[in-house]
Amino acid sequence: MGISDNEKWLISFYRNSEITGALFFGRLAQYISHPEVKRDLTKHFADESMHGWYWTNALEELGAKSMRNFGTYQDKYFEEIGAPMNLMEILSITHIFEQRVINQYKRHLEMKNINPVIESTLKTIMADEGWHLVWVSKALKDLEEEYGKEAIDATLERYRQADNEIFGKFCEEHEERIQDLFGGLGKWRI
Amino acid sequence: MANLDSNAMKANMAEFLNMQVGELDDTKELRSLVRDSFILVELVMRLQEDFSVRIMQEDLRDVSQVGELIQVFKDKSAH
Repeated sequence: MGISDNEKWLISFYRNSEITGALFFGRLAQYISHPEVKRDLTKHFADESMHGWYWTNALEELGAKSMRNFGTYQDKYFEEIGAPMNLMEILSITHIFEQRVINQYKRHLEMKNINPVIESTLKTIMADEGWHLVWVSKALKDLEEEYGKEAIDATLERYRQADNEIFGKFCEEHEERIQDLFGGLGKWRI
Repeated sequence: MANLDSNAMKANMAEFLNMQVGELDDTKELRSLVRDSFILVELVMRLQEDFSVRIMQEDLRDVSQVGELIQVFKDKSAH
């Protein structure tokens, strides 16, 4: 059973984003001194790497080749709001990004006549995503003493608004593909 | 905590970037040293860890050069 060009595009986008996230977290995990964050970030990196592998495997099973990286969602974050520069900002942007990923994957699972290979892969990955939000939320809570709860809440809100902007632009840019895949843009706000 | 002086910071940056310290003059554009923003984040995070200084995104809004980056760290360290 094959997949359409639009499905291949979307799965490639997922794959490239997972791998980008993994590489970023993996490199950061080498420098973070906070022991709990170091541990959980390393696990998070391992999960994202596996997710990249799951999508790679899914494409192979479907007889498709991954499309070349044409810019990931994380690239769009950095272009829109600049790169995070400390642990609190990194965790905040990660929190918002993970919520977006969960939202998107849930939306994809609702797709009519979803390919069983894609459905299985989404469910496997979603099993990890819940923990990602839990550890990041806890880590941000633990940073309240250092950064202040208000500053963290303000940072999360700033990134949330930016994410909504970015996602809106992304949907407009790829409207035809999304229309074909999901029958409309729907409401995918966090 | 490592000494927060320009030479120590440049040595740290040069090691991370696999460059010679002499190549990191103050007017060198940061974007010319890193492949992408992820690497820049990693560089700044490493400097924060190694020099025990905390930087916010807004602190680097107007920073584009090596010397400017070092000055921000020095200013933060002094407070």
